[in-house]
Amino acid sequence: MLWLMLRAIAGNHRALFGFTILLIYIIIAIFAPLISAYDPLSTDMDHAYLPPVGLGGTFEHPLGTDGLGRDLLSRLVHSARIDLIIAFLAATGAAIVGIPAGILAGYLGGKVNRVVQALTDAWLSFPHVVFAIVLIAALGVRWINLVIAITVIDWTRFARVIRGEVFGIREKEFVKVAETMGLSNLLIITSEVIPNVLPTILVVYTLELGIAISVEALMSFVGLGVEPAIVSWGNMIAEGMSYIRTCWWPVVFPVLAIMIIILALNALGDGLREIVDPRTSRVLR
Amino acid sequence: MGFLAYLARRAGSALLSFFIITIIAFILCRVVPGDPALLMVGSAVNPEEWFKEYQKMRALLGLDRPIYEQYLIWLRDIFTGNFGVSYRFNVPVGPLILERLPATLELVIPTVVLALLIGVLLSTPKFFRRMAWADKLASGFSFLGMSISYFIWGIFFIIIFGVSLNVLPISGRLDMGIELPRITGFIIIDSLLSGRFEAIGSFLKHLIMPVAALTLYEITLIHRINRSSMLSVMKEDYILMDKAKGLSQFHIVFVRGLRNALIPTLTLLGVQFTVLLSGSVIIEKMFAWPGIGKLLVSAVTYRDLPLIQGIIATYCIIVIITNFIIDSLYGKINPRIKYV
Repeated sequence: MLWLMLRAIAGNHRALFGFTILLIYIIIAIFAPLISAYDPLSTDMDHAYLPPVGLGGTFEHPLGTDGLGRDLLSRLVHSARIDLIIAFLAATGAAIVGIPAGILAGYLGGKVNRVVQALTDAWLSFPHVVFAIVLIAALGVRWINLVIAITVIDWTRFARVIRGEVFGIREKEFVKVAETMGLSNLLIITSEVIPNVLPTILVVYTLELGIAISVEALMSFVGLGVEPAIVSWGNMIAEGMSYIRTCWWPVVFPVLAIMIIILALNALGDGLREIVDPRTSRVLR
Repeated sequence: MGFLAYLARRAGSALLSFFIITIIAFILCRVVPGDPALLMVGSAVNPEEWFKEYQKMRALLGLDRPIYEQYLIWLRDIFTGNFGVSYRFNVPVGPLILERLPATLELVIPTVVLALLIGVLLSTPKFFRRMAWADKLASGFSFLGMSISYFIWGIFFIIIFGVSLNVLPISGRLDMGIELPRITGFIIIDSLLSGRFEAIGSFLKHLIMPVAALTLYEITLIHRINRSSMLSVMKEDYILMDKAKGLSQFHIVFVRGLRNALIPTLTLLGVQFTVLLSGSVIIEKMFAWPGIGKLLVSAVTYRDLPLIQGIIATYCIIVIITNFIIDSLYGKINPRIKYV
C-alpha cells in the first residue's frame, strides 16, 4: 500500500512537487543545528538589523539578523522544528478524534449520527479563530495547548468528510455481503470500511498539516500561540511586525517559509485527491 | 406556509448550534485560571473581613452558584439584552460591543460584496472564446491564492504599501486629528450626516488594505466554486436550447448560466462567512482596527469573562443572521426553490 502510494505520488506532478518540498522541510527541521551555526535565541546587539546577502549583507548571516541581532537563518530553520511538530501532532490529534466519530456516525447512523452532525454543524457555524482564542485563554499560552486547540476545533474536518464517505460505502455490496455473513460491526468496520476511507483520510490529513501551520502563525501573531520563549515562524512574524518600519526581512522570511510549505501541502493534497479519485486514477486499482 | 415551516426548522438548528457554542464557551470561561472575584476584591487589613468581602464579591458576580445555574442566568439575561458588566471597563458589555460592532461590519460587508462580485466575474471568461487568457490567469491566481491567507496578504500589504511606498496608513480607521461625532458608529454614514466629508477620504484610505487582504482570499474560494458550478450548468440542455435559439453568449453566460450557478456559490458563502469573521479578528489586530475582534483579543488578555462571553454570543448571532439572509436569497435567485 505504502509502496503503491509512493509510486502514485511519483506519477503525479502536483503530488510529487508537494511531497518533495515537505520532505525537504522535514530534513531541514531535523538537521537545523547543522545548517546554521548560531543559537537561534542568542542576541548580539552589535549586529542588529543586518541585511541579508544581496542587500549588503555578508555570508556570516546569510539572511541577516533581527532587531536583537539574532541570526535569521538559524531562527528560520529552528522554527521548522516546532512548526512541523505542532502540525503533525495537531493533524494526528484531529484524525484520532475525527475519524472514529465520522466512521461511527456514517456506519451506525441513528442517534450517533445525529449527535455528530449537531456537533459538526455547531463547529461549522462559529469562527474558528475566535474558538481558538477562547480555548487558549482557558488553557494558557503554550505550544502544546495550541495542539490541543487545533485538535478540538479541526476534528470536525475529518468527521464531516469521512461520515459522508462511509454513508456511501455502507451501501456497497461488499458491506452488505459481510453483514449477511454475520460478521460483527467491529469486524466490518476494520476490514471493509477503514481500508476504503484510508485514501480520503490521507488527503484530509495532508491539508490539515497546512492548516495547523497557518493557525500557529495566526495565533502566535495575536500573542496566543507558541510561548514567546520558543522560536516559531508565527513568533518571528509577531516580533518582526513590531519593528516593521525599521526593517522588513525578519518578517518576510518566515512568511515565505509558511507560504511555500502551505503551497506544497495544498499541491500534495490536490494531487492525492486526483490519485485516489476513481474517476481520474488507475494507479491504485 | 412552506417558507414559514422551513424558517422554523432552520431556526431550530441555528438555536441548537447557538446553545452548543455558548455552553462550551461558558464552561471554558469558567476554567480560565485566575479567580475574577479575587482580582476585584483588593486587600483588607483583617483577613476575616477580607474573606467576607470576597464572598460578597463572588455572590455579586454569581460565581457561588453551580455552573449550569450561572449559564441559565446568563441566557435569561441576554434575551433581555443584558450581557453583564465588563470586569475591566466596569460598564455594561452590551453597549461596549455595540460601540465596536460597526467597525467590524465596515470590514466584513465590503469584503463580502467585493469578493462575490469579483469572484463570480472571474469565473465567466472561461465561456468566451477570446477570453481564454483571462481564465488561465484567474485560475492560476486562484491556485496560488489558496495558499496565501488574508494573514499573509495583510503582512505583504503593510510592508509594500504601508512601509516601503508609504502611501497607505497601517493602523486605525481615521487620520489623527479628524474628529467625528458618533451618531451611528459607521464612519461613512456619520460623516455624511455631520457634513464632515474629509473624513470619508481618510477612512477609505485606511479601509483599502484590510479589506483587500480579506477580499483577495475570499475571491479565490468563490472563484473556484463558481467556476466549477458554471462548468456543470453550461452543459445543461436548457443552455444548449438557448444557443439553438440564437441568444448571445453574453446573455447565456450572465443571465441564464450565472443565475443557476450561483446557488452552490451562495451555500459556500454561508459556510465561508465564519472564515471571514475569523479573518476579521486577525486583520483587526494587524491593522489596529477597533472592531469586536480586537476587543476580544484584549478581553482575553485581561480575563474579562462577561466581555468574552458577550462577544462570542455576538459572533453567533452575526452568523445566524447572515445564514438567514443567504437562505432568503436562494428563493430570489431561483423561484423554483421551495422551502420544504
